[in-house]
Amino acid sequence: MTPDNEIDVALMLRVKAGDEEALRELIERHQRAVIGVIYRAIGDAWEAEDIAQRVFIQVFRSARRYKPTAKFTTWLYTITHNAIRNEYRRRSRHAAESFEALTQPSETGEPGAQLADSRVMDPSQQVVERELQAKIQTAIQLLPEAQRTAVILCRFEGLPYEEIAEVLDCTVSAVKSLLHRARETLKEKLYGCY
Amino acid sequence: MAATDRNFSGKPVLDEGVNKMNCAKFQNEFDDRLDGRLDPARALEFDAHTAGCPACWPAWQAYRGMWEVVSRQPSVVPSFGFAQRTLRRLHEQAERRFWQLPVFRWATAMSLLIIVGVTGVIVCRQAETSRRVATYAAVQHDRLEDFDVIVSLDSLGGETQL
Repeated sequence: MTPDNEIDVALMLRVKAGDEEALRELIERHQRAVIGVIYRAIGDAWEAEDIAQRVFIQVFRSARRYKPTAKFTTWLYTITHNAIRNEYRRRSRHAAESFEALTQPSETGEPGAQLADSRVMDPSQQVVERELQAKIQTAIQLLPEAQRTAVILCRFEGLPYEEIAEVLDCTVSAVKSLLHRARETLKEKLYGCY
Repeated sequence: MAATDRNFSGKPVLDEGVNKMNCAKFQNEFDDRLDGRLDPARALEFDAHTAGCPACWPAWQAYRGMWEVVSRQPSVVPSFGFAQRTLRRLHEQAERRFWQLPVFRWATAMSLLIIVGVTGVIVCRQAETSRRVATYAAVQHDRLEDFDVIVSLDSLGGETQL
């Protein structure tokens, strides 16, 4: 067990006993990763925070059922993956929210969470960069659910195949296949960007 | 390299068939190489092949380039007080849930039933009273009419027979 996971498990056991301070610590340790994964999947910083809050509330509610057999982050990402899946289902049920709203990142910037981009560029470069980022985001969001999660967890969170397999409840070879298909699609969609 | 020969200029010439097989094998390992899943010896072999192979080099460059571009998607920083807001939301939901407990639902249902029942009884009683008053009034009215007849007969000096 890694030291990080040991801390998480210890905090989770305190949460299980109803300790809210432990929950606050857990949130502070993982908020960035959870919001990041959700943001990359849905492309809206406000919504990402809202869904992330629901994820941590779910962590608190499920604490009684928590058993420290698996890595805490695997469990957390599983809840996050389910929350993203529910959000996509909810959106597909609501006709008012168009498909564009689901797939197009907003161009006016995000008022909620701030984009963590510290690069300094001139305005024309910024426009090109923003267009590229929008294209990447759309390409990722248009991937099928499991492929999208596999790409996000592998590329941005650096999770090994084994952990991704646990989150997606599939085999390691299935993860490999998901990633390969996702990369082929992304290569096609992002042609000319690399 | 077993599958190579040398042409007149001295450059290595790869045997087409064997090379294609090799390329397919290496191209199948693109994902493993990207994700660091090749053992060090195989990774070296992979790098040596792709660097010198005119078929694999552009394919590998495109694959790796795409994966690097994907990482340029920006991350987000949680807004200030995220943890605090999450805990507040948790409390609010817990409070709402308390009022949604089955006990409170049953209590509300029972209260409504009692209110409806009591209102029904009151309305029925009022209707009964009104009916009794109406009957009494009608009886009194008949009696008064009979009395008027008697009075008028008396005033005529006749015998009263009821």
